[in-house]
Amino acid sequence: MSEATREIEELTEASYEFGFSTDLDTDVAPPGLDEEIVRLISAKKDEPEWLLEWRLKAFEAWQAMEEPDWAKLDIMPIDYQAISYWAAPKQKPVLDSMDDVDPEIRDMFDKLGIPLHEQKMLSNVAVDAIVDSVSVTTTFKATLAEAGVIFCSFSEAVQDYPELVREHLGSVVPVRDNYFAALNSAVFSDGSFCYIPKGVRCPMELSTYFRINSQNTGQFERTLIVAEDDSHVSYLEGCTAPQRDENQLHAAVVELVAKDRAEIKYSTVQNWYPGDENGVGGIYNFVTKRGRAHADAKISWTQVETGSAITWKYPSVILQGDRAVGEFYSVALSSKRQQADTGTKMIHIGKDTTSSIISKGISAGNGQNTYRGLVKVMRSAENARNYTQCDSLLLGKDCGAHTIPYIEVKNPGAQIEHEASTSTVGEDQLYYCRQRGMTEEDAMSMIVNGFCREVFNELPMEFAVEAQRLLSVSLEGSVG
Amino acid sequence: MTIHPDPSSEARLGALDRIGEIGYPTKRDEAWRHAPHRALGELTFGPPVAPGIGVPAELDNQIPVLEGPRVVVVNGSVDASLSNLAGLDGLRLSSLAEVLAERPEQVAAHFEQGDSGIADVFVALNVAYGADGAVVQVADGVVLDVPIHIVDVGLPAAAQNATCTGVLIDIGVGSSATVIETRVGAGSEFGGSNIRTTIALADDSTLEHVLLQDVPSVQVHLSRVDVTQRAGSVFKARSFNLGAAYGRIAYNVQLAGTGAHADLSGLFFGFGDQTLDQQVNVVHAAAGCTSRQTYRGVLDEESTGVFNGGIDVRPGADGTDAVQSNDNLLLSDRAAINTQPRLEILADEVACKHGATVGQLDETALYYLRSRGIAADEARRLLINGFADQAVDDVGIETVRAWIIHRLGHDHA
Repeated sequence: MSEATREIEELTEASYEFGFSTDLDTDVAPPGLDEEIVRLISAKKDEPEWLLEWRLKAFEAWQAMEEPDWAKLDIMPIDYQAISYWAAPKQKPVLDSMDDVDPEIRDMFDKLGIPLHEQKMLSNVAVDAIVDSVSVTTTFKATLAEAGVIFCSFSEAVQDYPELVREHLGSVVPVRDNYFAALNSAVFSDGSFCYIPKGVRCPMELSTYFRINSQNTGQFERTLIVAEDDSHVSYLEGCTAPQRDENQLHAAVVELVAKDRAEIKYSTVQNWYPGDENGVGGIYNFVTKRGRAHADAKISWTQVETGSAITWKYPSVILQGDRAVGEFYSVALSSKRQQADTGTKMIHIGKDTTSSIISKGISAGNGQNTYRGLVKVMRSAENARNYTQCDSLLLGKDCGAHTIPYIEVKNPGAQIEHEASTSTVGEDQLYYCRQRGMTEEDAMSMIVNGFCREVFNELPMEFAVEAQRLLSVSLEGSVG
Repeated sequence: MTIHPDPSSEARLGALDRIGEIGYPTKRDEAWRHAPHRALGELTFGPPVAPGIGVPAELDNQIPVLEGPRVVVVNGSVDASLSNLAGLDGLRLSSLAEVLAERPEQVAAHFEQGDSGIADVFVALNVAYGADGAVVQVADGVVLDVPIHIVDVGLPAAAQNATCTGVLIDIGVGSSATVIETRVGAGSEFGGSNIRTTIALADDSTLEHVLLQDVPSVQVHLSRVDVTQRAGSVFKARSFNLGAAYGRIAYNVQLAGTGAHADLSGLFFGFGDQTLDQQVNVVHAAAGCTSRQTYRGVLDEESTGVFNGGIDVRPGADGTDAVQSNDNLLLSDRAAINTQPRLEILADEVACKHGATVGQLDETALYYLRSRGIAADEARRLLINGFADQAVDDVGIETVRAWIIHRLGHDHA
């Protein structure tokens, strides 16, 4: 076995660095899902009647739907009745400052390398920390309030800004959109709500750390971001999860609304527990992410997907207004027994709309990585432009890389380009680098990082660092 | 499901039992997403009817004239009077019905569907009813200079509007040959043709296979070509998907021997409300194989083009080099293109690339030509032909190339 091959094997066998579990006293609903559970969740959260009805409508739709099987994923059957749909930390008094946060939780964030107590000073980032399903603490509210930006947990938004929530909830991802979105709509626990008023440039990057902490508790986050005319926001989402033995279901919905000339930049670093080397215990990540861009608006998705046993995720942009812009930048890594079926949809409706897609897939170990994307140009979308580039890197003999793009064009003014390539890190490339005095480790790191550069460049500074760190952890041994 | 290797009529008709099980394709079947499902359901199949009805004179200009070996199939039965089955040295040309009757074991592979089973309901129907057609057998070490022409004519009748034809091509070790398949029809009635070609290329053999599809624009045409390539063999496919309301040409190429090379190219040129569907799947099952897929589509008026091309690299197929491209020109604001270039890769040490583009005629190029005194229509035609020519130029036989150019020009004048 060559040096390179051995190193690849070593690095793909690296264990999950963030595999620890914190004992929080949680209030957990009995496993199972029926109308009563939906009512219970709504009641626990003290929701208005319209929201309960919305949930029930979604639940009814979900019951009539079938689990999709078109993805290139080998999924163990999910018993939706074996999952508990509600968990919350015990009721605690409302907190005024960081010091009041449960030391256990703060400790957990420290392990993840997110010194919450230093965030304010060092990074100028507001953090809405979610532990299980209820927001524990939200920072930087004052600074944001000054700018008129609303950034709070979804539950708070329902209580404090019901009109805004009611107007936009489900407007981009309807309850019947797909199986997992319907499930989420019925039982969503909490999430983030963000509202940027007209003409406001959000003074800081908004960030949320998601964390699954309670065994057998599916997490059903709901995120809604509304950017009014001429506003701008950059939103960061990142997650790491403790090691678990049972599969955990994660079905989130993210909706973005970018009004005229608004810009939303949504970045994700995803590092859910991928399961052990046999694929046991990893997170099932079924996410529906979609944005609607009005005239001259821009929505940009950037994702670094290194975790989860199964990733099923297609962040999309509906380019509804004229001259709207959609972007998708993705790095997806699947090693061990990880399976990722991910990509994007760009739906061109308005005139002169443009979209670009850069997707980098890395397969190692027994990982299976699929890019699945749709570029659709409707009749009305005159002069639509799309550029798509999908590259795959194969590290090892037992992994797979698949590219399944759909291009559907109904307007002759469209210019669509799609390019894809699949290759491996050649012995000759490594040899060349070694010739120049680099260690095998540095060479591999350079090649993999170079492969992902176009995407990392799109990430905000602090996330780019984290993304590289995650890639290094996932490819431990020679890279990084 | 495996069809019994004995291709007797009972065994073949056994395929019909499978139809209920397989069911007609729906919009949810990836390979049939853009097919006219209602029209497919209206096709009626059965054993060949009224053999020897001849070819209407109106078709004379629609079939390229090639001297030499020729098989003419009318409504699923070989018309001996129009065919020229006299063999050449090293070539045995027969009707499928004759081979089925006299030496059935030689065509068992065509009817046996192997472990993967029957791909779809139309394969099952073809297995059941496609009992006649052409069998091309080229012995080892033979280089044939003269192209073999297989003509299929569909003349739908009200009682049974669809026909099935089978074509087998076996090329011996180290041999090379050229086969032209022309698919035409006549009449203004709705109907369809379902033609299945099975090609086996032995070690180091070469086949150039040209497929001309130009059936009337009221008909449905379904072509399926299954190819198995042994070590060092070369398969050159050139398809021209021009006729039919729904014209479908599907290739399934298995690169089963080391160092085999498949080079597929095609042109689809749609008018009216035609839907022209190309389904291509190249399976790299052995090491060191190369494949190329180069498809070009021109869609005018309300036509729709479909390209669903796959490169499937199996474990162990190291050293694979595969390239795929699909470029399309949309000429009308009601035309549409659906393109899906797929890569599925389960081996490392591979180099695979694919690309797809959709565009329109270059306004500056049009302007340039017009400023040189060329009329608008002529300038447009020049540019379209320039785009299409790449596929045409690659056809080795002058007569066939001239026929294609005439056919394209004819519709475009």
